[in-house]
This record gives sequence, structure tokens and C-alpha cells, in this order.
Amino acid sequence: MIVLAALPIVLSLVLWRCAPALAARCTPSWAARALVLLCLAAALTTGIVLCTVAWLAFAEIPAAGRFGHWSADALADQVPVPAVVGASAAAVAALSVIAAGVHLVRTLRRMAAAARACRALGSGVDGLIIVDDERAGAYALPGWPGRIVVSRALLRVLDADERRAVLAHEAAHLRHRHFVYLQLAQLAAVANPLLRPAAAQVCRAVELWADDDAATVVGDRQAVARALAKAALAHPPVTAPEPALAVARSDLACRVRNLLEPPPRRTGRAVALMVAVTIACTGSGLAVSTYAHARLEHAESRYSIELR
Amino acid sequence: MARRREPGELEREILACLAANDAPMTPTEVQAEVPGRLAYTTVMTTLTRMHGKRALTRELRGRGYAYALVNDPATAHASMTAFQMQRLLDGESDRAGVLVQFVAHLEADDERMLQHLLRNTDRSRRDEP
Repeated sequence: MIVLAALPIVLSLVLWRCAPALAARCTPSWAARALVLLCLAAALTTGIVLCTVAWLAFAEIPAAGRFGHWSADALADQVPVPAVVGASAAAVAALSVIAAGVHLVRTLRRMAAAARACRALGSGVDGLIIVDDERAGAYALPGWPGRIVVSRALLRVLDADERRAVLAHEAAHLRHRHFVYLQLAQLAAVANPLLRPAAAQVCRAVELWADDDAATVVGDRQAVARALAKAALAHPPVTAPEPALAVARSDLACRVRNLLEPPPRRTGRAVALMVAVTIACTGSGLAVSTYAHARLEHAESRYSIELR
Repeated sequence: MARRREPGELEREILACLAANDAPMTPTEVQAEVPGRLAYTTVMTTLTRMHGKRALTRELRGRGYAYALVNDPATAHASMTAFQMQRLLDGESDRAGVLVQFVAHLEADDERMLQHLLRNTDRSRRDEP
């Protein structure tokens, strides 16, 4: 049972090391989907295991047993949880839940701001808004429907195919609702910091996915790479803040390589592995909580026997 | 081989094309600029429709029209909102924020690599017949 309880944490550690390798073996769309599910499963089950351990330690306090009408001794016999372990688990779980809660509230506020901005921008032409700004840039703003905002400064440096590439890339983000993937991955990483590399890989995979879609639309991978290069070079240099989801190798280099020299991929196996790990995580979380529940029920029945 | 356009895609491309060129463009010029083998009638119908939606202005040129982006206070306000919003969300130092940018930022090593890429692909395009 200890093995099962430790499994989600061990798997999170493994993911910390292996996320980049796993993501590299898949086509970006599958990397994004499989990793997001895995991150969510790992974060949730780690939380469940920590809460269960903390709860058991609490339940083994005799006073708690008297108050809740269960035999704390019987529980301590069957599932001994040292007080230190219980307290640490409680602390970590509390921090995790608070951090996730704060992050969620912030995210919802930002989404509300995005929705307001969408309304203020108007519907544009099929969601496309051209802005007159010296900053050359383009972005997708999620909404119902979303908007694509592109500055004239960027459009001027691109040729016709490259313009098409940028529009197709942003349209792909909206069509596939990539912001959902990003937000879920980030939430998981906030709840369980071991998942940060995996969440960063989700970010990267989502960009590669949109690049691939753009390449299909334009029919020319080089054009997308050129658009990327020109957009990056026209972008005013920004000192990148220390992001929570930094990746070791530059995203741009990765995107260019994906477009011009796509590496060989074995998506099937990598996805199967990730799905297996997701199921293992979920299974262990369920097993641990079911076991704890069963022990508690046993302790309750022992309590009523002891009373008589 | 590019795939067929979805509804709305052509309008967006035409808008982007007009935005990139400062001067108004006739349907012929737009047809030449937008990639893919578009029929003249398709281009003209789309331009007329966009004008009807008040996305474009037009002026007489010869026997036809030349189209351009609408330049009015509403557009200027939209510009402000868009980039105010971006700066606001950027400021939260949240890379995977609500906005998904085409290019988030440029690192030192990237610059050389990208310049190199542009020079190489430019050369290969000039070599093509």
C-alpha cells in the first residue's frame, strides 16, 4: 500500500526528468493531449494521496477517534502513519491547494479581462483585427468566438505566404482551443511543481501543433519558418521574465527545426506509455483512498464493538 | 500543395493583404497578391461583401474600384485596447497566459540562427525558376 501511495509522487519525479524526451517522440498534437491528461492525473492523485495520509494521521489521534466515533487504536494498528509524516503531508497538501486556488482565481480574472477586450475590439473581419501599432506582433485572444490580433507593422514585413502562415497559426490556436490545454497544464504545475517541465512541454507542443497546421494550410513549411523568423526579428527585444514554465532549449530553435527538419517520431508508443502512466496514477489514487475508507469503516465498527 | 480555404479564411487573408499595402488595391492587384489560384470573380465578390460589412472603403479607379482598410476612430480605439491588453497580461510574467502570441520573445542565440535561416531560404527561392 505504501508503494501505491508513493506511486503518483514517484511518477511525477520521473516526469520531471523525462517530459522533454516523451514530448519529442510524439507528433505535437498527441504530445499536447497526452501530457495534459497525464499532468492532471498526476496533480490530482498526488493531492488525493497527500490528503489521505494527512487524514489518516489525524484520525489516529485518540481524541479524534472519540469525537468521530471510530477506534483510533484499530486504525493505528492497521495503517500506522507517523505524526511527522501526517503533518508534512497536511502542510504540502494545504500549500498545494491554496496555490492552485489562487492561480485559478487569477486565471478566471484574466479570462474575464480577455472577454471584455474581445467585446471592446469588436468582431473584426471573421475575428481578425488589424491594429496600427509600431510593435510587430500577432496573437490569438480566446473567446466565443476568439479574435486574432495582428499589427500592421508585422504584416508589412511578411510576404503573402508568410501572412497566410501567421493567420493560419493563430486560427489553429483558436480552433483547437489551445488556451484550455495551457491553462490546465499550468494549473497542474502550480499544484504540483514537479510537473513544471511537463507543463512547459505542453506549451511547446501547442506551438508546434499550430505551426504544423499552418504548414498544412500554406502547403510550404519553409514559408512558416520564414514567417516565424521575421516575426521574431521584428519583435522588440523583451527581457524575458523568469517564467514558471521555462524550457531549457529555446522554443524558437525547436519550432524552426520542427518545420524544416521534422525529427522521426514514434507517436504510438510514446502515447501508449503516457496513457499507461495516467491510468497507473489514477488507479493508485483510487486504490489508496478506497483502502483508507475501508480501514476507517473497520475502525468505526471496532469502536462500536469496544463500546459494548 | 495548399489546402482549400475554409469560409472566412479568404476574407482574413484579403484584409491582411490590404493592411500590408498602404495604398488602395484593385481586385486585380489583390488577386495577384493573395496566394492560390483565385478566380477574379471570387476576389471581387469577397471585396464587395467586405465593403458591405463596412470593413473596407473604396474609391473609383478607372472603371472599377480600389479597396482599402477603413481608417476611423473606432479602429484607433481598437488598436489601443488590443495592445493595452497585451501589456497588461504580459506584465503578469505569465508565459502561458490567456493570450497566445505568435512569438513570445527572442533570445540572444536565436537572432543569429534566424538571420541565417532567412538568408538561406531567400537564396533558394531566388534559385527557383
